[in-house]
Amino acid sequence: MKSPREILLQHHRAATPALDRIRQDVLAGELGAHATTPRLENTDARDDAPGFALKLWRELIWPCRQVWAALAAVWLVLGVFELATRSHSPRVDRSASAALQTSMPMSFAEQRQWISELTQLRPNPPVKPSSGARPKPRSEGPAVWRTT
Amino acid sequence: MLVVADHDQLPVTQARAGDPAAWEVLFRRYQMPLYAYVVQLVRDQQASLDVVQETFVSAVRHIQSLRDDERFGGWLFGIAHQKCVQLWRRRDREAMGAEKLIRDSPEQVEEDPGELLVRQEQEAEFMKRLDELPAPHRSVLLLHFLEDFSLEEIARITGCQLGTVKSRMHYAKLALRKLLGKRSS
Repeated sequence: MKSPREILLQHHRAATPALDRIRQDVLAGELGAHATTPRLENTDARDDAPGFALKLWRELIWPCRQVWAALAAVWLVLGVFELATRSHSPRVDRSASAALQTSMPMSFAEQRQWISELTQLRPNPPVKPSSGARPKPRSEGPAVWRTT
Repeated sequence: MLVVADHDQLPVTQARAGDPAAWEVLFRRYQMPLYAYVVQLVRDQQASLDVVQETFVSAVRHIQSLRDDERFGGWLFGIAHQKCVQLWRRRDREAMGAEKLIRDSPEQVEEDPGELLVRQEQEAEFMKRLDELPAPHRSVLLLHFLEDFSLEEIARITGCQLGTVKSRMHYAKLALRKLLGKRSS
């Protein structure tokens, strides 16, 4: 023999998981929100950043063919560009270095020649010998200067 | 016999102070009886879960309106009952029947305190017959069965006169006994 209460509670036992969920939701929403939720939200957001990136990778990038095709195209263009620039650049470098090797000694020689010519053409003016008089203090100068 | 937890052991005082652990204990204690009460009245599982959730939320928000900690259970069932009434009004279906039944029922009938026990083979029949009772009678009977509330407490929860509750209780028990007895004989 069972009491009506026992029968009623047993009859609705299947709702226990849903009721547990509701209880947790209400506790988190009504009581957790007042005390600790803001701090937890911040830490959760920080902690979830790698998880979010992983989720983004798995759900958006990994299964998307267009993304991979675009990436492949970009790499292909970059590769072609790299090859094209590499095929031209060695010649340019060699010729430039050869020109530098020949032109640099010439320019040094030219510079030296110009310097010697300039020094010969405009010799330094002779230094005048000093009069021997030492500068006097302003107070001992002419009276015109002491009007004020 | 009804087995109902002692109200003195419930941490209502701590819940008033906003202790989540206290609310956890209270919700655990009442979630299933409350759901059983609501779903037997509303007859819609999803709507009943919604009512239970709304009841919990209201309880947390308005705990300061509870005057006596020992009446926490009745207070909680009162909130749930009001939510059910609101739902009925929205649906505008069973409420009409309920009003009619209130008018038709006799006002003063002696309460029959006899304990009702159900044999195992009658359990499904009990649930079926309970569902057949009119909503106001079912409500009174469920509150008595689930939490062993006193008639005064049931009157407070349902917002009815004590005499009305007595008559409903008598009518409901009589009807249920008659239905079960008829079936078993």
